[in-house]
Amino acid sequence: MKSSYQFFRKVRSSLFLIMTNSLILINANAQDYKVSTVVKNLNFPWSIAFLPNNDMLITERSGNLRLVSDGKLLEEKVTGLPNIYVSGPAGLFDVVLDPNFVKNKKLYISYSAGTPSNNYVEVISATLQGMSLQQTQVIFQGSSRNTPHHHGARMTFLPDNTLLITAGDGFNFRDQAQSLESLLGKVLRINTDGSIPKDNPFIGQANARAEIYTYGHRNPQAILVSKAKQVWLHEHGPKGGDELNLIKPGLNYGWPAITYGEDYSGAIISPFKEAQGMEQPVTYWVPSIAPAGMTEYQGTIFPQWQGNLFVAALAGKSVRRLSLENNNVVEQETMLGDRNQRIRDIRTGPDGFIYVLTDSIEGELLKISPMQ
Amino acid sequence: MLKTIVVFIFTTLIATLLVCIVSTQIVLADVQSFGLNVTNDVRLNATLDDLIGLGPVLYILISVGFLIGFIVAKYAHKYIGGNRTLWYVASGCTTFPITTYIIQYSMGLTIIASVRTPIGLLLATLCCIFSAWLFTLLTTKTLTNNKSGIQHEK
Repeated sequence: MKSSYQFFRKVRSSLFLIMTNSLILINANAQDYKVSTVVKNLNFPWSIAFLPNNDMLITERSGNLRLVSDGKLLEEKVTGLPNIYVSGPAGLFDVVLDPNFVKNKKLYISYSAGTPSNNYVEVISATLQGMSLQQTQVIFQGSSRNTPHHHGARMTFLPDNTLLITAGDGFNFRDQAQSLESLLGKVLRINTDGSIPKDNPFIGQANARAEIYTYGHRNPQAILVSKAKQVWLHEHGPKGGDELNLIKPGLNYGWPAITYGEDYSGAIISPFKEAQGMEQPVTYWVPSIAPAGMTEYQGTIFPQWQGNLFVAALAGKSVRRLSLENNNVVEQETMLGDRNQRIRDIRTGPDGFIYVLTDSIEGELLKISPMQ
Repeated sequence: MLKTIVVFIFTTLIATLLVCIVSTQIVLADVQSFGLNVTNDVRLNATLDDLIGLGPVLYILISVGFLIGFIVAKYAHKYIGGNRTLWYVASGCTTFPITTYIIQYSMGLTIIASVRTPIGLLLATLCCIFSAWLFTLLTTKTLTNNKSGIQHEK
């Protein structure tokens, strides 16, 4: 009886695997887009933010904030950044504009701060005055760790103008993703002045950090709010098991108690892929693609892609276009695979074109436009 | 010489087996701490999975460490003297932590998850100490007619 139940569970797991991974893979040879280079010579570019005048701010992980104006990369760098801990994957990360940037010129920047033995995700608010950051203020500081890995550090605004910040597990501290006393392996939610929103899911709970919005994450590398006001997030798995998750406040996304991946050493991380009280991903990737940035297309240039999610892939050296129905991925297309470039970020510009950053010491800003 | 090599391979395999089994139990203890129930079947399957998945990597790390450590122990005993067993046990005590430290220093992370805590590192080291002692035992030549009473290696 027990062996029959176990057999049934294995069959169920296999069917789920087939259902979630046997998506229709579109042959990208019949592509209806072209890719052009906007600027070159970016040093490990990480994130794009579009200014109201269509200029672009681009962060370089090496610690610079650059400006692309009229399609040209300015040599002059934006000044006023704080001290940034740059080592391996650690450095300058995300930049997002305040919802009222047109009036207040405020933006938010995430980065790794500290030292090799004590570093953490930090977020500042600042005002952009020409090519200078002014009125800089630290509004968030994450939990300490002693590795340069897994910072997370992507940000997005909820419709109520609170700020979501992703925080990785620091690689060596994966168990803390399940601890509500740590800010590692979490999505945090704060007000733009650094205070804690009164309706955060764990506020007032003993032994829980009030900033926590969701927990059980490994290294979330993108977070966005869709047109339907849903929060989408993706995160790196270990060796296999990268995930796309639909985020809801207070929920546990399972890492490292459940995972579809294994450790890089070949060891198990958990014998479980599912558990009660822990959320399943909408989709996952085995082998890993190392998802980086993500955008939901809401432009007019590519009407056939309305509502699709686009996922940048580092190890996957491509962009994955995901078509959704009822929050399920029903179609997945691999794009830009022929370029054989690690893709770090992807955004929809205000002009309706799609912009992509490649992850390289000679990084590029690419533009995806219609073939005709 | 051939016998020494065979014994080396055997004791390194023992060390790998012990460290691997201990490592799995440490990871499963973490999983249990998250509120999940680990049955005997799950434990057995996980341990077997790790022997297949983690075992080869562990074997390489342990055998390289032991090779260097045992050579140092051999010549330390030869030129400094003292108790031969203690020299080898000392190498068993230090090679795995040193290997782990080198990886942490060069890569910025600890790839064997179970040794990221002091207790995990201690348990893995105890397994290596036992295996080093076993190597000493199996390579000790019993001397019946040696008037000096000094133990020699085979």
